[in-house]
Amino acid sequence: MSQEIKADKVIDARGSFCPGPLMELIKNIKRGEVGKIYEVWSKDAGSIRDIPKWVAKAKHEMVGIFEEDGYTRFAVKKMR
Amino acid sequence: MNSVDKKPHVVILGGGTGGVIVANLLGRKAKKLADVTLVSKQENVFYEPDLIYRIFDKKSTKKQYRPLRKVVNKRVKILNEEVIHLDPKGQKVQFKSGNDISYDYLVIATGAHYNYDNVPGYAGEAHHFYDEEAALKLRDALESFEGGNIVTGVADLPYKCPIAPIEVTFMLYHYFKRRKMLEQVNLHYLSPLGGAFSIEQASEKFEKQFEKKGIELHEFFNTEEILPEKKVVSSLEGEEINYDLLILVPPHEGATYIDDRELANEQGWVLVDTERLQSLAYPNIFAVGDTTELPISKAGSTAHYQAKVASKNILRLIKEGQLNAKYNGHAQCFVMMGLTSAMVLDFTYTRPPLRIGYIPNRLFYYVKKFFARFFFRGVLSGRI
Ligand SMILES: Cc1cc2nc3c(=O)[nH]c(=O)nc-3n(C[C@H](O)[C@H](O)[C@H](O)COP(=O)(O)OP(=O)(O)OC[C@H]3O[C@@H](n4cnc5c(N)ncnc54)[C@H](O)[C@@H]3O)c2cc1C
Repeated sequence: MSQEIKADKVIDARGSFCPGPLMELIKNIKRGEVGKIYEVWSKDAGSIRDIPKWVAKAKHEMVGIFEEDGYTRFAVKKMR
Repeated sequence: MNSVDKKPHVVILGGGTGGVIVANLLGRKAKKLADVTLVSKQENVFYEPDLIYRIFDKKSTKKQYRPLRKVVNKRVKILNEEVIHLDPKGQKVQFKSGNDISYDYLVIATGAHYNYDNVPGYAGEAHHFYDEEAALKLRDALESFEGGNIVTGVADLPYKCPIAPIEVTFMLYHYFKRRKMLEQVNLHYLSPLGGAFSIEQASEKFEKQFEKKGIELHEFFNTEEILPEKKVVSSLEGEEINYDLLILVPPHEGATYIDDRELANEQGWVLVDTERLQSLAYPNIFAVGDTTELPISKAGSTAHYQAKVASKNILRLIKEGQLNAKYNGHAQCFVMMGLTSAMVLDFTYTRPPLRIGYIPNRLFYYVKKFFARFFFRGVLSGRI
């Protein structure tokens, strides 16, 4: 997958056990603009399961998941 | 006094957990180095965590209050004013009374306030327990509740003490059990996440309890609106749930008196360095507690630990023109698992919660239940 995706906002939630990366993402997307890309950084192993699941359920678009050194970047496009 | 020996003026906005600790530490340690002023719209400090007990007992909230003057160091000047505007470039704070104050260093610690209008249908329909008035109203509503669906959850993100709505859901179960009404009451918990909570091991514990107690968990439910005429709450994810009694943590906002978007975002959450707690735009401004946009729980414990770091950094800045204290993301939350047992979640930015805390017991319950006295005498002093 391309690493070139240009996020409109990066949310660094590495080290957020509570409220956690998904809540940080939802909080931002909820108030965000349709069409914009939000990228959340997570070190939490559960994110790989939870974030794509929420994105699908909330009908947004998972633009990319990128493994970095010790953390993962999830890029999500707000669709509605 | 001429301008050469004029002491710097440190102004702290907000006389809650974070603000009072900063005031006490600077009052003691800055001594002759700085003048310290604490600004707060209330004359008292209020201990919020005990509100979860007030919903279920008949006690008054009197013991949750202490006059600010009694818990704040005598060297600190207290102003009973409400902040309505902050000008970070002009280093000036405007009050509702028409007065204003200038500062050299500023600590923003005005916590979070609730704006019901951020969620359509919330005002006048949803109950909560996040302030005294609402908690006492909920107490009455529970007392006269005759049966049906009780739906608990959160109206919006972020919110303080992320564990509180789960605790209260457990406590509701025990409350209705005591009243022998479990047959007539259906409890539902709306979780914004795919599971009960963000920390996996804790989430598993909570989910087991939900199952055991017959509480229905609704995952990925982020409230969109409430339709009072239909008694329905709907989610961003497209689900609808019927309620007879709705208990949702209210929508929160931060320091909305700030309109400088480099200092705080649209919701008033102050943008600070995650470790130094210093504004990313204004080096003479710090923020602690619920009002910060940090990726950590908004809680009394985090406000406490942050207050110590921010005070150290301001002291060093005044003395040496540099700073070196770092906040490591430490949070400590005692979680009620029933009416008389609790567990503890203790973690930092880099360390997951300690395993020992996952064992619910009576000791943790007593710590939580009797913490208020220790809070007023110990925690607020900044010595701990
Ligand atoms: C029901 C409930 C249970 C909780 N349980 C726990 C728990 O178990 N453990 C835990 O750690 N935390 C818990 N918390 C959270 C905890 O109470 C808060 O996170 C903590 O008080 C935050 O401290 P603070 O200093 O940031 O803000 P606050 O303590 O809210 O203080 C803010 C102060 O600023 C003042 N202020 C606000 N706006 C203005 C203005 N414009 N001008 C002047 N003054 C202003 C306010 O009057 C207040 O005095 C709970 C909260 C609730 C509601």
